Amino acid sequence: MDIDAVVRQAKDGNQQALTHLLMHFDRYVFGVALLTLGDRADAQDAAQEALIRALKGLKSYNGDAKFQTWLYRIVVNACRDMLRRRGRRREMVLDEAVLLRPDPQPDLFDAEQQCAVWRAVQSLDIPLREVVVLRYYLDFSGIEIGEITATPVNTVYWRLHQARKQLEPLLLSEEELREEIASRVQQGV
Amino acid sequence: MDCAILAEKLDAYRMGMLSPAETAALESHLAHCPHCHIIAKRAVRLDNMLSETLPAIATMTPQEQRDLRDTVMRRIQKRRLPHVHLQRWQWGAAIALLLIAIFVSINLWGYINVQQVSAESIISEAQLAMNVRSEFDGVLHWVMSIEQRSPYKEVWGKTQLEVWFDFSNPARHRIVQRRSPDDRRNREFVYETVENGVDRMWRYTYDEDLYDPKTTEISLSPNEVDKRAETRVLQAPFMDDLARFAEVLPEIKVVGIERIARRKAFVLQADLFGAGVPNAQGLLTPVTSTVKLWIDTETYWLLGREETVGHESTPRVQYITKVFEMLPRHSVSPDTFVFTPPDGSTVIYHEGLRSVHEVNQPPSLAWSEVDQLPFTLYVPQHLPSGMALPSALMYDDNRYFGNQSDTCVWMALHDTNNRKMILTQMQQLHLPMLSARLVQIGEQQGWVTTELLTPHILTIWLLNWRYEGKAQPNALPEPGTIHLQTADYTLDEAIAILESLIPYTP
Repeated sequence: MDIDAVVRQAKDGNQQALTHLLMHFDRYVFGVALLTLGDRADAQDAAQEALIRALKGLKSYNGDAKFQTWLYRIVVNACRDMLRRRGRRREMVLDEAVLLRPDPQPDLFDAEQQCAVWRAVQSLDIPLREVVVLRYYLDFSGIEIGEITATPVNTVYWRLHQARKQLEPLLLSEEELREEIASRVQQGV
Repeated sequence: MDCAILAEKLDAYRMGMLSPAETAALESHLAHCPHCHIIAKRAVRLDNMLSETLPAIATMTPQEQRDLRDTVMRRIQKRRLPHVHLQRWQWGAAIALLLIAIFVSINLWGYINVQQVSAESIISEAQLAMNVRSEFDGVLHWVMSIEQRSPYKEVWGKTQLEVWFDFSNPARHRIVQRRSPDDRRNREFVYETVENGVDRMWRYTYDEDLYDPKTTEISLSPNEVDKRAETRVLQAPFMDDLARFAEVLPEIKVVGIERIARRKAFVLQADLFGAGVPNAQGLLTPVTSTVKLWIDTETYWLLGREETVGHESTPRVQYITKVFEMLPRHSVSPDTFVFTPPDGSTVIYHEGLRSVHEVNQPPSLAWSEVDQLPFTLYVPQHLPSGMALPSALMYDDNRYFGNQSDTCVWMALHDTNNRKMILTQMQQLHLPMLSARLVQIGEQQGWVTTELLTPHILTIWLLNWRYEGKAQPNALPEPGTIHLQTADYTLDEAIAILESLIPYTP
């Protein structure tokens, strides 16, 4: 889909173009919200808010930045708003319960890895979590992440570095252990 | 480039953002430093793991996607968001008006009526129109309508719960439960919350027995309800309805957390197995009921209630439907409530018994003025049928919320001292009074009260009068108190009765 063309049509009021945009981006918007907020219900609310703001506010998109950058800035701000509102009153972190289990069950290692990654990402502070989500979920560049989060590029790299320092001991040692086990199983040990 | 700097530059390097000189320096270092080589390899592994796993985690269910798309499309399509009006509703031939509050601000919410609609449409309307914030600085107001169908009667009743809650002052809140006119018990449930240390408790007064109001306290501690496996026993006032079917109060379990109308709610469920109800042969047959309650996780208010009853003749009957909508109001102060006398009225301000000021065009009075100034209101002899009056009083701890009623017989206001005395008497009688005002017709003075569910029926309380006529009004135990309802009389008959009253001497 030629995003720019669809955006232009949507800005002109083409309802079908609006629908196309929604259908294209909704799962990514939700994904960002879920990974950032850690709660499905909050993610649904934040995603709704962000998509409504974006689609209703298309007239304010003037093409200076990539559409995706503009959109996810709205998403990040919606998540930040939700976090502010939620504040300290969030009593339950549903943890792995938030994750969906596809049916049939995936490979056990996959499920465990998903849980481990989820826990590790949720353990990050929000500024680090944001950059991790934008980098590894949406594959944005450092410059784009900086535009989305309104932070200097060097700060983006610094935060990625900090996030890596926290995530590596949580995730790689487990993975290495799993690989060791898998290798031993294969060898019949 | 040393190892520490390489570690910091690694992400920029992997994202292709280093200058050619920096890139060359980094790659040269990597080629000669085993330690950094391992660091870089681990970085690649971590990157791959995150890139593969995060998309797998952040998935939506088809239902979630449908809900998201539906909601967003509804909101972005160019149509006016439904403004929540409460509109007139009709009980058979009768027209009843409901008004909750009058706010004097840019938007004057003077007349609000309730329309009977289905649960589904209310929920979808609420989802469209609502913009609930988690932090409230004003009065939260919502309405919950419940239609109850019993296996024993076609329609058991229609109940409406209307809630005002001041988040800036949690002590100030009120829930009014109104039943259909089929139910002549005329009960008013008043729910209050109090804080007791870390616990938040519910306390309600249950007024069915006028002379022995019951108070039951229930406690819902936030520290315990998030343990899903824990069972708490709640004596909830709404369970009283089921109590007659059950020999013991139910055990209620927290079964989860759900979203209702953008609020997060604990879901409580109770299964009841009752001694039963008599069947056609007069034998008791067991009744099973499941009740689900949705309790707001922040405020602990009841947001929803669903009850399903099973009986031998009707295996599974949906007893109550949960519907509600929320209309947040912010920074509401009592001064915003306005009392506006009806057209054609004359307001006379007086000190003591002497008139000092007559106003033919009745002004809009802030409730604070009404509260402090004694005045008499004369209305036209004949009120047009269906005339909407802008306000009545809903007595609530000396706060007055605007209310609206249809056709009214006005009676005199006493001066401030007398009025307070009457209020006291009303309180002592525990009357199910939802609105009250002091009015005058001719020389008669007294209170006119209405119930919000049936505001077309006025109850007139006259103190120190008695009546001798062919249509005997109901008498209260309080000597010298006359109580008559306009449902039993036409307006002219009511006026005739009032004009025939004889001063009461004990």
